[in-house]
Amino acid sequence: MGMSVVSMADMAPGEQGTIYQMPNDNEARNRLEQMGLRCGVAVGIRNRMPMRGPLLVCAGRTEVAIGNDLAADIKVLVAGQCGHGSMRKRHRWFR
Amino acid sequence: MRVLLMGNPNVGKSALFYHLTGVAVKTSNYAGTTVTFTEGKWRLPPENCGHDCAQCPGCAKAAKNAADRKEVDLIDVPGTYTLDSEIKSEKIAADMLATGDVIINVVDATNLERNLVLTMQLCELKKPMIMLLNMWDETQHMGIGVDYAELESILGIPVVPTNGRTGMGCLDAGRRLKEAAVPRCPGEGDIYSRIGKIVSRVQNLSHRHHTVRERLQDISMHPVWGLPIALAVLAGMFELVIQVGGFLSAQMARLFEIAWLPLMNRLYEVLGPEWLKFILIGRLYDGQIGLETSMGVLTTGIFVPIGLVMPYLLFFYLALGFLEDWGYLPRMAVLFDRFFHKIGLHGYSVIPIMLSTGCNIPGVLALRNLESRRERFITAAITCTTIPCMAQSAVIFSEAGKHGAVYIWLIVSTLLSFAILLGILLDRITKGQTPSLISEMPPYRIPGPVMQFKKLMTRLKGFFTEAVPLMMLGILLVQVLDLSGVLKHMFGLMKPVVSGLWGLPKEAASAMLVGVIRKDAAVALLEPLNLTAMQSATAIVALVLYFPCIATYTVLAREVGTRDLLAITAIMAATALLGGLFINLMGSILPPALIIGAEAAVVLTALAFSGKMKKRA
Repeated sequence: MGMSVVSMADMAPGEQGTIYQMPNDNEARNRLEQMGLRCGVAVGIRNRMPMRGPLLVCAGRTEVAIGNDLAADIKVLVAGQCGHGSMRKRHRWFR
Repeated sequence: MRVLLMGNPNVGKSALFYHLTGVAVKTSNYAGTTVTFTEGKWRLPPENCGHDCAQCPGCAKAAKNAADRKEVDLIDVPGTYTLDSEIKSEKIAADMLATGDVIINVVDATNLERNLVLTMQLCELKKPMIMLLNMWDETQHMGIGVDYAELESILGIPVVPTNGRTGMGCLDAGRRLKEAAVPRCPGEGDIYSRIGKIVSRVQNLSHRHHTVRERLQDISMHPVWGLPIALAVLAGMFELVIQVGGFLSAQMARLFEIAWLPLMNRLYEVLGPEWLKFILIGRLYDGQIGLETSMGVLTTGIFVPIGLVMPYLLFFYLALGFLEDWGYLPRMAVLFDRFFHKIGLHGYSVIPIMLSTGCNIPGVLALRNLESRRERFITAAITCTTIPCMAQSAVIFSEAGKHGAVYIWLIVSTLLSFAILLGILLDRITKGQTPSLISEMPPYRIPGPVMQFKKLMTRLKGFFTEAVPLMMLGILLVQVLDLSGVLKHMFGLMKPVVSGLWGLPKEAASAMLVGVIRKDAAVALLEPLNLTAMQSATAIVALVLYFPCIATYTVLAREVGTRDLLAITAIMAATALLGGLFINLMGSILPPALIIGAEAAVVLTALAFSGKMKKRA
């Protein structure tokens, strides 16, 4: 099982990984960093709202809701293969 | 000496402020409850008490009585994540810094890593500081051990564990304030690696099981069930308010009839001049005083706010207070975010909107938590135009409810349709884009009964000191205008709109006039006019959409600036004209249930269409 980089918006509930790249938008990045979401931080997707709604992301003790558009700009390093056959596929309904 | 309470949002600064000063400020469980600063006097506890005062009620009592205690000014500052923020309430916090002599950094002990970011920034200011580790009780539940003595030695400032709900640690904080020192800025490298080093030295985590509240958190944010649950919670809340409030309101009416009416009848007999009778007691119907209809300062002016509105308000604020402290509002923000983005709002707009259903003023103040001017503008336009406050709703329930529940639904669905269509329109024509949601989810917390009660009392006190006098003033104004004959003149002026467009008798203009001062009084004014069901629905919709009460208007002016205020005023005038006209026209051809159906169809089409348009763009 190799490592791969995916967009946070493509992660499924329950999936975990490490933040690899933060969004370019300075303001959003600063806000996220203040809440503890930075490069190298372990995150998990706790839940996601249907129809491209916000994701609930936990990092340590903090739980943060992130809009889908912004989550698409956050890249996460996850274990396992990405794309076909992964857990994400089952959650297509949410997108 | 001025002491500032500073810290991240939702770490319990306001609760601690209450325990330190005794000044009740609003507290809730979501980021951004405090949007402005509150000052209070903090009387420091006497020194050399020698034992654990936090555990000793006698000591606290003695501390209260000691006459020679030093007093300092304590300021409750809005929560902020950082000192260089774009958000208005956080800017206020950063600006406050210059005015303080000592900083009390309030820190959420369950989330040190995140909270220390602000601490590090505060360290660089070289101001004397102490630190309060708040929510100390929760660290134990959560299996987090924090070695505060170690933290004290790292930072070189006093560190005191506290509990904002019970007030634990507050005496200690007062005693150690004099030890406040300029903190050391330990370590090298970037801020996050320094924080990481500190946290690894002072914090140790132990394993624990999921609690019931955490399970509830997950269920309420479930992708499928979350939204139905939220809608059920809202429906349940308003159902409770309508049922229980309505019941209590009926009891109050009976009480007023037994206790207050005879007094007023007596007063009517003894009062001298006719004009004084007219102003204080008002007009008689068949020789009887009508509590809702007479429009006297002492009859309608007292009965409507206290007998009719207060019962609803009481239960609304009880329910809202519970939701706020429980931590549900930011979750509603997430659940509604997708939908709100469609109408140019932001998930967090749910907080101004929810508060506005109580009273528009706190709703407008909560706009400060929204990031961009665009969101603030759209949210302000929608809330101030289409959301009736509880005082208005109470009168609407009793007024439109007389003609059947379907008319209440007609009013609600018309307002809702206008809100959504207005949102879609403003989203199109306002420049820019609504930014993505970023919001921290607080854990669910069980509301403390004492703080709940305090909050309810603060809100009711606000109602009595601000709304009730304005209500009486509004009625006084109408009676004076009526007596002087000016009112008749104004009827003539407003006749084209009131009678021409809305199909109402020209006397309804007086309601529009009073509506500027108090909306609930205005709706009550409609009663003596003997309107048909459809006419009263028209009048109420027009009244709600029309300008907010004067108090909201002044606050709004301060919050959004002149340009946006003018735009919002124009929107209100246009929607009021349209709304009244719409129901007037539709009501003449369709029964209310079909109008509701038509509105739903229009709104759904508009929502689907706006989505498509956006994709193409």
